[in-house]
Amino acid sequence: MKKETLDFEAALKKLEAIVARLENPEVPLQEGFALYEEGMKLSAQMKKELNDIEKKVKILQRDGRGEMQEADFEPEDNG
Amino acid sequence: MPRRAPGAGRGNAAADMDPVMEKIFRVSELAQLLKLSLEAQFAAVAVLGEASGVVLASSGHLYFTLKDGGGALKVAMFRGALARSTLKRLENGQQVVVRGMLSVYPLRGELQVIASDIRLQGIGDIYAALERLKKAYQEKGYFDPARKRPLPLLPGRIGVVTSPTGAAVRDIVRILQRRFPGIAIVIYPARVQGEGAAAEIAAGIDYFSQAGPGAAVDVLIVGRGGGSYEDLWAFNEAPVVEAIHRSRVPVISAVGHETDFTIADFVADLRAATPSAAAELVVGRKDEFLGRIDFLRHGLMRAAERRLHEAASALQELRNESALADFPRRLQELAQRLDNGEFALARLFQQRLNARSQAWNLAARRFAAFDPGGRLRQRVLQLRQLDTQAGALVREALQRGGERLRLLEAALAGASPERILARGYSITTDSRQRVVRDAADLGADERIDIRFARGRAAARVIKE
Repeated sequence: MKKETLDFEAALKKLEAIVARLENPEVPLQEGFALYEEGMKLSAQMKKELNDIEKKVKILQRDGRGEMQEADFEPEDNG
Repeated sequence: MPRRAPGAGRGNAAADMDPVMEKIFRVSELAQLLKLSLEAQFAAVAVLGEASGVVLASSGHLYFTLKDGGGALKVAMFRGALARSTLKRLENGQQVVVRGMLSVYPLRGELQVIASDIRLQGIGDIYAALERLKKAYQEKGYFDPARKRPLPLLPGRIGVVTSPTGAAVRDIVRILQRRFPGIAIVIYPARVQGEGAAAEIAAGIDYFSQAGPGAAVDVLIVGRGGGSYEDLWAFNEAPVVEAIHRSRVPVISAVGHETDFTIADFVADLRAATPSAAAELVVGRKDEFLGRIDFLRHGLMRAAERRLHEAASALQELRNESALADFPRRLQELAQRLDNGEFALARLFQQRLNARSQAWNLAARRFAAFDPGGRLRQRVLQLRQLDTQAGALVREALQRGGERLRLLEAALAGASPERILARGYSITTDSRQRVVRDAADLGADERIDIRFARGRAAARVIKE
């Protein structure tokens, strides 16, 4: 879980760096092509990851041995 | 416990009403009886209400009425108790807790509380206690800004320590699901007020702080909805403060309303004004994340397009360069033609001039005999005019040619091979000093010369 988020944050930083580098006219054209491809691939992955997040709300409950277990949480809807 | 009414056992009231056993009291006697009974039964009560009709009598005693929505009670605080009390001032409308003894003022038969202590609610006593706590933790460095950790940009899982039934949990879940549908939320249910609440909240924070992989969260919201100062007090207690302080997971405090401050707020990595605000702070909107990525993708495409465009222009320039390579030669030709033109013109002029001169000489000779005056002079003038006109023509032609030459020179300088070389290109010549345009023209091991913006280098071709 933790890893996933760090990856996203790092991926966003990387994507921003790729765009900045591609915008630099000093960067050779050959490298520019590679940057473009890498950036498009990375951003597509990031979008997919964001769109794939589909988690439920959980609440912790003690099981028979007193261990905390996650169960689905349904907020009572009285509001 | 006085049981003055006759008859043993329970149910004195019933016994009093028994006509046979009936005892008739004097008013003062009954009032006194009531007073003693109440004072014994309610020797130490604490009662919360709003002060009204506050009077500080000249005797030094304090009188007021304690009210709430459903009742009223007279309160008297005598001079001695007042002097010992921490109460400095009491104003109508203030919420107070009165501690003392319930009694009856026999002269009027009025119920009243003889106060031994009066404490202000909300601000006042609790406020002072809060300030003391705050100072103590501040001195221990618990609020050090350097301790505050940044929150993750996109938490994989969000832990929430709060009551599972309050409005707070409902608000947090609703807002998070609206902002970021599908985000993972794990709730640790804890009582948030009353005896033992602080320990439960602390246990929840510790649970997430120590959770192994699979149960871990990336950020923690700890809080509850609004309430009185006492309701929120658990968030000022040491177990909660210490648990937040030692938490390995960044903590957002979300206690009560915007105006409420607790020690938890100061020690947390981030204070949210309300539970709803915490839900807004803990993660950005999903569509904002997607928007940011789309923005960057757009930037990529734009930059790539621009680079391609630039490359196309550079290519065009390279093509033009081959035309420029023989530009100096063409320029020379042009200059030569101009020179030739000049010569031709001069020659023509000369020829004409010569012809004129001859004609003039001839005429001069011819006319000398017949017309020594006017006609000859007229001819000379005509010839001089012609001379001048021809000279102007030549000068003009030369001037125009020079102007064009200058323009051509300027154009050449702008696109000179030097300028192109300065941009990082180089010119390669083969062993016969010809410019290489096709690698296929080169033989294996052939010596080539490369000219750069600065300097030259010799190289050999490696054919693989």
